[in-house]
Amino acid sequence: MSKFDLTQRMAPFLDLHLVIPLLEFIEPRGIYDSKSITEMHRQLLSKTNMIDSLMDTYGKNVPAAIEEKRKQIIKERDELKAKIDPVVTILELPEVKEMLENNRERDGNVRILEFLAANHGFSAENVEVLYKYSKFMYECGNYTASSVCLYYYRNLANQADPNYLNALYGKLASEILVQEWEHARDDLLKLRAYIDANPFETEWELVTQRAWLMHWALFVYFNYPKGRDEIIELFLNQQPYLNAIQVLAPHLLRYLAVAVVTSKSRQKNSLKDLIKVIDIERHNYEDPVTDFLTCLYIKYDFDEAQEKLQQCEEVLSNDFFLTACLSDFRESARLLIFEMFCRIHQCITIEMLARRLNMTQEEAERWIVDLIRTYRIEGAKIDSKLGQVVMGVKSVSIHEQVMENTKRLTLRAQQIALQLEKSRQEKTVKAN
Amino acid sequence: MSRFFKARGGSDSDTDSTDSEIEDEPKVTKKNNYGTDDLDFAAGGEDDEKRVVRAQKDKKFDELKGIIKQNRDAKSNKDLNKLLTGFDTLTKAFEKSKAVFQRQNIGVPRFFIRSIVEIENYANKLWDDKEAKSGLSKNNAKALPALRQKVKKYIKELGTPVTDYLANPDEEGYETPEEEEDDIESEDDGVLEKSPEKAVAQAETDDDRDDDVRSTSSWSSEPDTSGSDTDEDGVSKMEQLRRYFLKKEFRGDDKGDKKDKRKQRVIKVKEAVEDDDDDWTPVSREKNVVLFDPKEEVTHDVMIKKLNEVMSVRGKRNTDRDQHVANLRKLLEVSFAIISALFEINVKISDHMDYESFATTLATVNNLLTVLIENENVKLSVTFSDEDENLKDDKEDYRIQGSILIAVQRLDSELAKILQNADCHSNDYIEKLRGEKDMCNLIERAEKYVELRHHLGVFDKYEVCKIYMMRIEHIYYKYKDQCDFEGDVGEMMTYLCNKIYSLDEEKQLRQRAMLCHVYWLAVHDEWHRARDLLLMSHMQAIVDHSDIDTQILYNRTICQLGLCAFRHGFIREAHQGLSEIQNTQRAKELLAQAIGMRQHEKTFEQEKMERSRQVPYHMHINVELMECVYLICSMLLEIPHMASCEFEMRRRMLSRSFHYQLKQSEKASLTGPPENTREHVVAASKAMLNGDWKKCRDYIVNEKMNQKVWNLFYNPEPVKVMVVRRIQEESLRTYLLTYSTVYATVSLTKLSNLFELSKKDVHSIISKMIIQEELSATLDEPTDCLIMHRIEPSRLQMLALNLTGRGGFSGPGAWFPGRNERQGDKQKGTGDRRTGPSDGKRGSNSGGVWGGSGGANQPRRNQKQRAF
Repeated sequence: MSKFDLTQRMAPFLDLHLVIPLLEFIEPRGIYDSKSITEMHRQLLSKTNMIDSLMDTYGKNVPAAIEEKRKQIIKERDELKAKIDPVVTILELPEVKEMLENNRERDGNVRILEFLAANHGFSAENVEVLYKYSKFMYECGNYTASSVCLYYYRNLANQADPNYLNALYGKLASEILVQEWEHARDDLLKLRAYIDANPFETEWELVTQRAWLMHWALFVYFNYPKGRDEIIELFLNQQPYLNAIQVLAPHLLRYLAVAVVTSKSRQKNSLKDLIKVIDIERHNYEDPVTDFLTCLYIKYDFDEAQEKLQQCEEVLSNDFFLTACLSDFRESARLLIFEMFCRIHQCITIEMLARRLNMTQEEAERWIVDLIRTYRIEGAKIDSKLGQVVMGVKSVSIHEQVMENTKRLTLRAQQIALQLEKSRQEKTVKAN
Repeated sequence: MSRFFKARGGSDSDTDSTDSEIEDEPKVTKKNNYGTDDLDFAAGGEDDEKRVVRAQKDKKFDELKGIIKQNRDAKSNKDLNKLLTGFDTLTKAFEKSKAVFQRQNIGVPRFFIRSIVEIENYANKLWDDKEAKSGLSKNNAKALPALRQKVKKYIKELGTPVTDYLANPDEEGYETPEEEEDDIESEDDGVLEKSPEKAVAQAETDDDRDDDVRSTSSWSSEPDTSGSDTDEDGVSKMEQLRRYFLKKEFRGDDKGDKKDKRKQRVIKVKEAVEDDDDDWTPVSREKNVVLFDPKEEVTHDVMIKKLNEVMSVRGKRNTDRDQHVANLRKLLEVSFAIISALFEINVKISDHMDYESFATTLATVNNLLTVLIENENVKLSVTFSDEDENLKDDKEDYRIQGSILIAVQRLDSELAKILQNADCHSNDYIEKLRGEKDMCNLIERAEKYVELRHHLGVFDKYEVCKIYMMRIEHIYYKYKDQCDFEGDVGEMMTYLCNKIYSLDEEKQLRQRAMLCHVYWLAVHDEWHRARDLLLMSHMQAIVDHSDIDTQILYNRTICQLGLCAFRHGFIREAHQGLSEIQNTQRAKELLAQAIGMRQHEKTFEQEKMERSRQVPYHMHINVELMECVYLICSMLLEIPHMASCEFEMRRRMLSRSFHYQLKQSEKASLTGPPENTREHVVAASKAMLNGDWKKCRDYIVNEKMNQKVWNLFYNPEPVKVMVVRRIQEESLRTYLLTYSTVYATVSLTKLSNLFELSKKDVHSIISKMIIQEELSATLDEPTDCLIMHRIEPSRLQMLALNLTGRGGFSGPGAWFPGRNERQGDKQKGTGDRRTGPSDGKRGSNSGGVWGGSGGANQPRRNQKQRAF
């Protein structure tokens, strides 16, 4: 099962602190060897300042070096705390707070800085301290503190500052880790705007940043009601981001595919594009989710699609982001299969359908009835005696075709007239 | 006598000799004697008439000699005016006497040529010698350039005799009568010995100018220009000498030690020295010095000194080279001069080098490279200016201006030219192809050298890129096992390309490297990587703006990619890739594998350019194979398509050339069994159109086609399997489309038996067709059969359908809105560029059908409005 687990592929794109929840999720699933996971977890923690969690992994016999480190960290924290306290006090003054809240993006941060410098003896160094402190707090696992400080920092620091991008990422990570999805979403938008402005030197850097952004966005979007539609919007409809997926992180296609399949409003329009991308990247990346779509829409092999669908359930239930979507996905996938059947067949036995949809025959019948009612599938009727679903054939007679086409002509003629009108206007504008 | 003559012989034809009167006298007489005696011998025992002629000839000779003598006087008096007129009369007199000479079959007399050469040398020397020039009187100063030009021109007119004068003394010697042998021999010796010596000397003088001379292109253009460039005369002399050397070498002379041109030269001097009496060498050299004017003495002293240096270098070369870096440095410079001199051998750029001289040059460059690699303190770079050069001080690093990389580059292009001009079907070509291997090795070594010395910063970035590029260009078209290279060629390729991507600042090399990489990947069946790389490079968009060589490479790459796609079963992609080239009818031309047919449209220059761009034969892509693959692709795509639009009045064509072939075969009154690949594919297409997949398969996969097509693939079996499978599938599709009106139901089992496909495959193919609305039918699952819904429309219905235009633009019925839309586009003037041309074509077609004029449109519009 570990074959389809993406934790390893995703980790390079994520922050250490973001990997921790992934590891914690994957640990009890028994996909990987538990010893290696614990070791991994421990190593990960040792790179951060979260000493207490690290000590927990050792149980009772904690190495002395770690105790030592703990003391050092506490000392460092106290030092920073002493520095930061006056700064925070200033920033929490009501008038300053008000200013920060009313600050508009366009004005930049200069005005506030000037104000603070004049009234409270604020200096650029203080801003630096703010950044350092929040970084330290983040490392220690105190995400709330770090998110607050980074909020101040973002409002005070210059956009050209080399730490600015880091601060944006840090803020986003903090919000994710304290599960403030609304804030996280705002931060995500800010970060995206910053990246899209392309302040980077090379194209490669830009692509990498986009790939990072998309990975971090998964946390937000899969925990946010309309998130899946936004995934489609960002991953599929934004060409630069789609390119980044294709170049750097084809495994994101799984999340995109799930998002498309489960999305109610976007499914119809996006499915075609998604299939195209999956087809192109097929040699690069395959997993049961994408294979399912391939089988259904490219190979037209329903048996295999069925097998893949079963695998999908397993994969989804073991995926940190997708466990919640499992039932949605199952339902939508079945619907897709059924829809396909309806289009191709005139008559299907319910027994076969049940087999294909991984249900008992009775379940299937009930399900189909529901389906026909909710989705108003045209002309589909259940012949209960023979155990068949019969589609009403809707072949278009030639007479109708001619009618249709003729109607269309009017429309086209109108369009031409409009176009001509438009071009004439353009010309007159140009002439003037 | 002999010594005197020898010495004089050594000096008198020397470039700078200003012989004294007294010395002239005997020489002339000698010359005279020689001439007459020669004739005597030839005419011995002939009748009176001949004697008369002989007297006539003697008279002419006397006349010429008289003028020559006058010229000498003028020369010694530095009276250039007189010399000029003297030269004129001399040439005139010679013209007059030419007829007589011709009757006697003696061509141009040697003494005449010698005198001409003397005058030229004299003029050149004066020209070069600024001081002497300024000392001339006004008249003389005026006459000097005129004289120089004239002589030069004349020599050029005379052409071969002048060169033969230096080159061919031996042969003439054999004809001479015994009693004169001494005389002649001494003469020959003189010439012989002088030449090598002079050659080295020239190489030395070359050294002095070596910097500007290095750019060989300026050399090669030399014969056309007669400007006042001081190098020119030296160069033209060099030319003659070199020709002399070459001739010798090619005659298989025993002296022709071909291992190393540089060695050879030095050795030749030595041999010449040893051949003779031992005491000759010092004497001649003394004489040389003594005979010079005081002014010139300096320069020649230097020359001799350098000559000695070279000789000492040669001596030490094999023993303690490393300790005598000073000599080594000389050696470097000399070898540099020699390399450029070797390149110089072919005068015109469009001409190609002889293979032999290529081989020697290759060896020389190789040696130079060895020397450079072994000695770290010798720096060779184009970035050093003349003043920076450090040739003597052995405490610092030696700095020499020049570039080994450029030499390698030049050599590479020479090889390409050699291969271009060789007959590709002869053994000779294979022979010459071996040079390619050596060239590869050399480039590899050069690359190593670059990497070894890269930290010194002596290389121009562009040069380095060029070296990598050359390696790529020698690798990219070969199969893995064809390159003798240990290690992974693919990795090597990636490494080299990455180097270029990171180094190259201009886009051009980067594009080329990218294309080569794609080509390589395509050849090695890495379809996905090749495709992705090509797409990422955005070459399609920019290739139109790049130079022609890159465009050719692009065409080649696209073709190779198309073939690769075909091997992988991506028929549509293959068709797309190949059609770009195949539909033009000029495939060979576009791939630079043949010169275009319409030659009369091109100027000579254009044709020459085109010739120089041709790809050598061993890199050719098999055009017949490509065409066949293209037609097979077309067949697989087009036949089902044709079946599906049977009821549309005007079909959309996917591939015009395929339709052309089909039509051609329909026109033929008698169709025999297919002969060539094209006919095979056409026959197969007809079989497929009838739904007979077995027949179709047999036409595509059989012995004949194996030989002509399939065996040319690297791994033919999977490709054949793929093609057969595709034939089955497409035949099934065609069958269903064609006979859908005949059947009410078809059992899937029957279909699967008929086309020998599994039921699952049949099911998936049919599903696909239904979903894509190609086939109006549905499946009945319980009975496992296909129910057809298609009803054949009646004629009226069909017409009505066509009138209203079913599929957007495709039907002619769409003419009204379609045409108007196009009109609108035209007015806007901003039609989509991509669809622009095809739309235009369709527009002109429909113009043909509908008469196109407004008048014809009018009634139809009325009719249409009624339809509203």
